[in-house]
Amino acid sequence: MFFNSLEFAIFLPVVFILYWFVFNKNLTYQNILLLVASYFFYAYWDYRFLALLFFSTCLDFFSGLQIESAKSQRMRTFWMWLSVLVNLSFLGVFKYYNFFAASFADLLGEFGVKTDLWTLKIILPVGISFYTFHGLSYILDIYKQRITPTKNFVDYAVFVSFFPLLVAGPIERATHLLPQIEKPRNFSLAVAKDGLRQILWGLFKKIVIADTCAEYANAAFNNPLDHSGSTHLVGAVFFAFQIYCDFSGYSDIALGCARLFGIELLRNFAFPYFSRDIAEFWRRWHISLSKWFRDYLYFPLGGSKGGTWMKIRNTFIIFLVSGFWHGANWTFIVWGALNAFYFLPLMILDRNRDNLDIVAVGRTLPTLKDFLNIAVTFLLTVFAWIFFRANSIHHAFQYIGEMFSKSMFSVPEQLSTVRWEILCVLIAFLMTIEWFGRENRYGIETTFLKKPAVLRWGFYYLIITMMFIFSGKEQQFIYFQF
Amino acid sequence: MKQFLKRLVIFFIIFFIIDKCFIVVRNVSAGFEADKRLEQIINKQIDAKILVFGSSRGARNVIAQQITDSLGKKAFNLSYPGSNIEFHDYLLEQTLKFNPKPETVILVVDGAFELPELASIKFRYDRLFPLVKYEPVRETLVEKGIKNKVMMKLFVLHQLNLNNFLVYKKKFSSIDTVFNDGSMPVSFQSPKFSGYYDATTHNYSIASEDKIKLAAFISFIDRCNKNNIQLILAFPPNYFHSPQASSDRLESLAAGKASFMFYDSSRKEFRDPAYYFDYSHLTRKGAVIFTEEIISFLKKH
Repeated sequence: MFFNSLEFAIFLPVVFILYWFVFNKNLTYQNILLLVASYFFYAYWDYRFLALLFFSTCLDFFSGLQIESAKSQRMRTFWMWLSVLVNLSFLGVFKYYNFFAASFADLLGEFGVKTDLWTLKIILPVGISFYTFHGLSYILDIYKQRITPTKNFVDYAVFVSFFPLLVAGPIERATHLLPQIEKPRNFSLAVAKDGLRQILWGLFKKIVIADTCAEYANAAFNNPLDHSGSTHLVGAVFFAFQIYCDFSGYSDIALGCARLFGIELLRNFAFPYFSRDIAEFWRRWHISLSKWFRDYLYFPLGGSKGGTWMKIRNTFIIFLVSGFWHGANWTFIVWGALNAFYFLPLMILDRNRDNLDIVAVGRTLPTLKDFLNIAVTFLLTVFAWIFFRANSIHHAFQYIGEMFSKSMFSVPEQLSTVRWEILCVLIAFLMTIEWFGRENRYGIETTFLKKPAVLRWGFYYLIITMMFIFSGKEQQFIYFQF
Repeated sequence: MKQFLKRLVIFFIIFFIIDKCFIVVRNVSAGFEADKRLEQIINKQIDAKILVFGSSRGARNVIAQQITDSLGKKAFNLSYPGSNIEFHDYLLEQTLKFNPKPETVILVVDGAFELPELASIKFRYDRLFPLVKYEPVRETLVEKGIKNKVMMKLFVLHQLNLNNFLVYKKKFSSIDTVFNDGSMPVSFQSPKFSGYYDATTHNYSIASEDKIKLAAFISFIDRCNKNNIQLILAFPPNYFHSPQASSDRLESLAAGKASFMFYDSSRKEFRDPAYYFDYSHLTRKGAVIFTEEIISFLKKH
């Protein structure tokens, strides 16, 4: 059940009405409803993996209780490691086994040893990377005594499987989400309206921008030898917008849906393409994952407290692991490494925290310096996305080679049903709205909010009309595969 | 809470009313199109004994009027530039559904590009959307998974796409003029055509074939077979080396259910760049020669 499907358009109002009209008097019933709805939502993808989700939930719930009640530090450590290792084993088997088996066979092949590939035909359970990280953060926080475990299984199961975040995040923390699940929630008109606005903006980004850009980017990437350099460049730029609008669009819908149920999820995106350097970009892109790695990997490794070499080592570890988290392919690892290289000069020169504020705050336009910094950061990001999108390292270099050819300055080809010029206009529309909304949590949070209802509703109708016009085949969200 | 639902209902009622205003856009968009061939199919206006299907190679390399004049049987060209076999099969299906059955169908194949996945030839949805006022077109969009049936019934906007909003009278350009016989020959050369013959040998890989195209190719052959229509798969000339393996592959898929007509590679005209618009299309004078070859093939068979 995609967020942009008719099924979800029926599912959401049904759950919403049951939640606020039928079960509104009792928190336990509300949470049971959320749990049942979440499991139904997940089963709609693939019911076979419900058992895995349920087992993972049970393991972390009981491990959490055991850590809390353990009489010795050794037993606390035992339960923590049991949960961490079992969770990572699931992730390893389902997501990384084939990658390691194939890479190992390739390595042996380099030494002339031929091996049969022991790869398995494994389907990746939807959202496994996300709910595994939810569980890990819960266990690690209990172990570090940042939280006490919940004794209510339903509450914990809702924390892990709450349907808006189940398949592609944001990666929540127990410290943030569990207290909200445990406390009674009251309906707020302002919050619900805000939630709907955010859902609308997320759907616009997904349907109008991401899916339209995808058609062009797919055509450019699928046949890299057939197109001109300029077509490759446009394809790479469109992929940058595809992945941004796809994932941030998903996050907006998730946050908006959660708000309809009186729950606030962690913010995942903060207008990353307005970043003035790579460090700022990573503070604004997939924030919940960056913070997860910062808290549970970077800090335990020593963070930036040590010397320069330690900082460099830790930075590389974080980016490589982050790349690897996205998928079992060398392309993701190179993408991570490339971002580490971008980040490194800033860190060595101690300039990685230069841009903590919002660009051009209180002003309409950025300064020339800010504008150039934004443009350079964006182009660096686009270059890195080529590795992220490519099927293999060879494919990425082939693409880059074709891009930087003589035909880079020719007129790009038309590869999709929507002309690339029209796509550029749509992207300009998106970026203009987001630029003026950059001080808020999402693009249209305050757009026309203080204007007459006619203007405000007219704007919403315009967005919905565009969604209808550009809607085509339902496209899966990219991050579902992670 | 009630206020929230009340506002939501009002919002959707207004949207529902606005949506219905777009019926005007839906109903007028067909009138702005220059190429009327698909509309003619749906309106039962195709009455030809010989039909030509294909992509731009079919459109530019075969002159239907020449066949009509020579054989005394009406021929019509239903080839669409940029279209793939899935689209050709769709056109044939619609033609048979609404029009008299032709005696002969000529499918001008794209050689090595017929079955592999290729961005430049696709199902021409852009040709369908201006015609969404017609029920069969809407049904196709649903069948192909482009639009949702329920949503289409509920919202007019869901029936539309960007093409419907290009509400101005379209005109043919020099490269895509559709003549009365449906053919689109050109009398000039592409400025990008250097006239250099590319003799590079390319391998043909069955693994590169697209499953949807493969199924459509077989469906096209079966459709002709079931309706007792003579099917000719025509291979036009190219100004580059085309792998033999691709035509062998198409022949094996046809399994004797179609006749194969290959251009005469010994003709000096087909080795002369002056007869080519670009590497894969002939100019009008080249198309006249290739059409002559088709005519003699039809006479013999």
